[in-house]
Amino acid sequence: MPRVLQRAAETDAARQPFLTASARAWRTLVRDRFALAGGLGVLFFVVLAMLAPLVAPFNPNFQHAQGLSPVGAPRAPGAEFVAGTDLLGRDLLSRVIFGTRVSLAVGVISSVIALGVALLIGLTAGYFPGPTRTGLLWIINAVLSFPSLLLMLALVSVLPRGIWVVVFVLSVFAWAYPARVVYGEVLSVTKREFIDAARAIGAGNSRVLFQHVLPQLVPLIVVYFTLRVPATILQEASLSFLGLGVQPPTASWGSIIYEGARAYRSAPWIFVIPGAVIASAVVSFNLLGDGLRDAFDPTSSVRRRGGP
Amino acid sequence: MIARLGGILLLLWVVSTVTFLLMFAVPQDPGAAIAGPQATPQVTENIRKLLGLDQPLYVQYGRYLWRSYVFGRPVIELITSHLGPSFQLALACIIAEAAIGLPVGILSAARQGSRFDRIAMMGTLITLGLPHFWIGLFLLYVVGARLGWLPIGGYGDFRHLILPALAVGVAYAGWYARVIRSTLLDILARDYVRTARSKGLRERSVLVRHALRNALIPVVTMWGLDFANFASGLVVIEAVFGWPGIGAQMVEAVLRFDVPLAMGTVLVGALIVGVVNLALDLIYPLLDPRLRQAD
Repeated sequence: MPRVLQRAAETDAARQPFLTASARAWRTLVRDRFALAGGLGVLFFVVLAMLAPLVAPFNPNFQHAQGLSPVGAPRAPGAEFVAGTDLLGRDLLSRVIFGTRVSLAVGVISSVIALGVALLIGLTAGYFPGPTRTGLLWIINAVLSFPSLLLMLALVSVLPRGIWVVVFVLSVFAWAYPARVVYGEVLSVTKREFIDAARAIGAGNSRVLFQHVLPQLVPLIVVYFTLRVPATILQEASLSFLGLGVQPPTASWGSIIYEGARAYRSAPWIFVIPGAVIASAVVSFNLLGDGLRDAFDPTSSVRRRGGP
Repeated sequence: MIARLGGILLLLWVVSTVTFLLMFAVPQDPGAAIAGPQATPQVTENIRKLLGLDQPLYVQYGRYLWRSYVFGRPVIELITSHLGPSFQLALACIIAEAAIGLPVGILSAARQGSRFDRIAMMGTLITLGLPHFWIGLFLLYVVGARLGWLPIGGYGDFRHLILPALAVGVAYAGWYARVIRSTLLDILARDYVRTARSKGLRERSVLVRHALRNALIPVVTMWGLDFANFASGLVVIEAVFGWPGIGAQMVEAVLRFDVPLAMGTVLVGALIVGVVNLALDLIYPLLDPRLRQAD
């Protein structure tokens, strides 16, 4: 390297304080306007779900006497019921707010389960070659090759209905894809030199796995989790919309749309409002997830913003 | 090739057996469910006998995909009558997706960073966040009920096909727009595109003749996968629009505890997906010469 260039590089390095990987990721994240907006959106929905009883104006399952017109039609949005009432005279805003709890809980819990299984299977398949790997990869590919919505319906047809069945059904097929991604990552991590170094100083399998391999997977898992939650929210809405998900009188965003669909012509607000809420939640999670991906992987952001 | 086909059949068998066993592991009796909560024990018992639920397990296993609990007719016969509408709708939907998504994505790539590009990409973000059945309901409300331009559901001529296809098209066009945009941007940065430009070709023919042709390969993949998934049952959209495809049939079977019919539709759906995937793998080498050499 010519002298001049070397000096320039040195001064550049001096100007930029040394950042650890996580600090650099954090800085990229908070500078990304879209990711920040997404993060605030996610925070909003989480707080809303936690504080639902304090925020909601009414009991979500209470059928108000004045909630229906004299001929029994639901009330349009107005002064008393801000978002109107549903077909049974219940306050729609309160139902949507309490529905946040159910939809978000289903999304988060089944994503945690799916990613937990994915991590377990992906780590095992990636770290232990031989018949274990072959067998696990076969199972992963088998699950991936099936249309998951069909299988969910098959399962729902033989299981009792309810929220825990929804959680189970939504996670039982969702682990396969992230498991394959984790597997690929483990393969590449175990080829790196610091793994050899750890082994050379006498680290056993469990120490290598948990102290050296697992931390490398954290960014991947965080990104997949953030992107898995909105996908699950949409799937839960689909199941509930078919009447196969969360059962009445419990409200979830999907089940409110399901109930409102019967009166979509006379009372469109019942299906429009929860749909808009679903979209804003899903967009928030997706923006945050994309931002996290860029933050953890500097090359991807270069590709996204740079281009030709 | 034969191994792949065998793999598909093996998986179908595994799924059907697992669900069959699950049916007995769960304390829920289809006989009681069909009889209803008010039925006397005698009625429930008769229904169980009629459906063969009193037979030993292996007899039931041999017959379980044979006859629908609710309709009393062979499952295969019931399903084949719904296949036609399903294929029709699937075809209309993939056409709608591409017809909306590709022009948007191509224009976005051609004017990268422009106002159109930014608005289009925001748009895809939002449509991809909306449940597709919600878009369906919204179209039903605005175009069907309010404006009265199109029928509000059901099966019939071409006009019945427009709204469901449009709903799916709007919902998933975002993927097509994004994929074609990013593929085009990748290709436009390649050397052969620079060569074509420096030859003095017009930007338009560079875009169409050199870039677009190559960018369409991933789109064909998406098309095939979508077609398989849609043909195996656009479950929710069929429910919204009352379209008599196998998706709607599946939901009805599930809701009425008609286990043989539900399993039958699931297996036929899985078979469609498997066969279309296989067909796609055979078609790729024809589209992409590089794959031919690899073989």
